[in-house]
Amino acid sequence: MSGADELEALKASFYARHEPRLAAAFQSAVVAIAGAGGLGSNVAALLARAGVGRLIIADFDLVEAHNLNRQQFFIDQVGLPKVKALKDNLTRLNPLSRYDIYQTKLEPGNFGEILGDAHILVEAFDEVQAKIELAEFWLSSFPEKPIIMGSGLGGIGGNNAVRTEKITDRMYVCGDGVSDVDLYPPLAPKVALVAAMQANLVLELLSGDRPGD
Amino acid sequence: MNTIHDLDTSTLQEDETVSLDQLLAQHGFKPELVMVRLDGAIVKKADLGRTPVARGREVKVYQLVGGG
Repeated sequence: MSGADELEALKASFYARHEPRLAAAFQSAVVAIAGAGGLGSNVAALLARAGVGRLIIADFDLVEAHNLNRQQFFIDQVGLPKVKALKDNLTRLNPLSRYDIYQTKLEPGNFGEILGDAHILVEAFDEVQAKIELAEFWLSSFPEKPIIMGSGLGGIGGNNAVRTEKITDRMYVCGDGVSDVDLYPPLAPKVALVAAMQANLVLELLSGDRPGD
Repeated sequence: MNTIHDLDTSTLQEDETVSLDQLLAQHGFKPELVMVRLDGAIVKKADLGRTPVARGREVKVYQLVGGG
């Protein structure tokens, strides 16, 4: 079997459990993830598993051991740039998609250049002011493209308080809205819960089905 | 989720307007920590001071918290 044949066989196998229309929609999609920490790394892993064709991921930070309680990295990656470690991990679980990584601090001056190709933006910043800055930029620069934010993912418990809020036709917020990580140190389950909501909403939007409010 | 706050504009006089940043201050919100939706559209932080609000306008404030 030639390399191209092997790739096609792998692709067919990878997407075997997808509805064909969803496989096509996901493969042609471009999703940007602003931040590769707790939310960002988990969202990236989920979207890679779902077969989203291209992910754009930006973060300036390095992997540290204390990240491992919630972020999609491994002990032997401590010290590496998060985006590089994440790309390695994503490629291992889904080599069929494209991962464009930027080891840089996202700022208003480069938001458009780095994130602008995306059909949907997932916000995964730590700081509130940065979240707001990004949202304002995206909503005014790309008013037709959705942004899915995260707010309230600290601590444990409170499953039923975690939800998705539709703020405008193009802006959503996932989280419980109150558990600031400075007050409630983050742990994997709740962070992953919020990240899963973000990722699931991405897929819903890509499917073309109207998301439930 | 108690992150969404409706700001009451019914108490404004018929011919009275206040700017959005004044309205936020009256209700104890810090502009740098919230997003404001006026009649369905998000208002940029830079525009809060020059966006007048009259009685009856729908103002919603979304508080965000840190973490990601």
